[in-house]
Amino acid sequence: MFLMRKKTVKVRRDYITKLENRIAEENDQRVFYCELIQKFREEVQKPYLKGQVHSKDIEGEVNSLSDEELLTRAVVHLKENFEGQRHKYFDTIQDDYFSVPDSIIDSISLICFAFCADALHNMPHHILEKNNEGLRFDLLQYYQARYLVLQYIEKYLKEYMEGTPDYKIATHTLIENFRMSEFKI
Amino acid sequence: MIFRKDVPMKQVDFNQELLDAFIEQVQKPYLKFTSDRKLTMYLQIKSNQEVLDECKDHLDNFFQLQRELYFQINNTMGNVLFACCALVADALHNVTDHILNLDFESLRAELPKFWFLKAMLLKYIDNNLEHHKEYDLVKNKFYKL
Repeated sequence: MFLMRKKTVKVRRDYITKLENRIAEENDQRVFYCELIQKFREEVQKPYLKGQVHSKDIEGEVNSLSDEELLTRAVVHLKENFEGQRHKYFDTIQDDYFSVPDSIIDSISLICFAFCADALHNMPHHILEKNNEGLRFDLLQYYQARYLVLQYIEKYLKEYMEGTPDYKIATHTLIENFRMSEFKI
Repeated sequence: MIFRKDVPMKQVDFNQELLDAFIEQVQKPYLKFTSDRKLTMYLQIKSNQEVLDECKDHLDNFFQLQRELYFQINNTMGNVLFACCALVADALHNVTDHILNLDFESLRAELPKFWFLKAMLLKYIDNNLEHHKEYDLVKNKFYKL
């Protein structure tokens, strides 16, 4: 009888440590996730909102665009924003063979796309009103946002990927979605 | 804890049940949706300008929704909301082209799909997120879509 008890105690203890490990793991992930968001706010949002992105390439390029080009670019980027999201989503959720849906990457994707939406949200209006100066300004903003987001993904998410093949694919598709643009800059 | 690096890191899902419910209740019906006779007839009566305005409003609202989500949501619901936004993006992704080309027939074809999705999303939010603290926030945002 004593033996029996010892056995059950051991089973229970194992179970508890397993639970504890799982909770710790989950907490780790949550902490990590909050840190990622924090960094996003600091390194992407702050410079963007304060207009501290100084890239001569972007400004020069956007200022040299003709009205016609502005219009096509705006439409292409609007479309890319939508398509990027659906590709990212259907890649991670549907295609179980290549990648596991990753809650952290998915959440960060939402943040990245939503952040770009800030720059894009006036474009449909400008397109219909044929307001080219507005489009020019918005495009400038959009390129700056995209530049910062790409930098952020490569800097922080790549680190997180190391040693975990599934995650690698998940971020890879995210990066590709942002990079694979008809107009690089 | 020391040995944790040796074991392959397990994926911890924040909201697996919610995502499963999402796929069952929203994604599958949405992908199967073909057309709705009532909505199509309703759109036939509307003038081109009205259709155009309607679509533009939806685009504006979607971007607005994403911006607001970005500035307000700071928690672990991100992946579920990403799924919602991705499907909306799926419904809207051709609209910009049609607006530029002033292709009203295609716009009329896209709208019922979008409305259907919106209805499904609202139902899903009502059924599943009611006990989450983000319920009101999310519901209001998607309602305005």
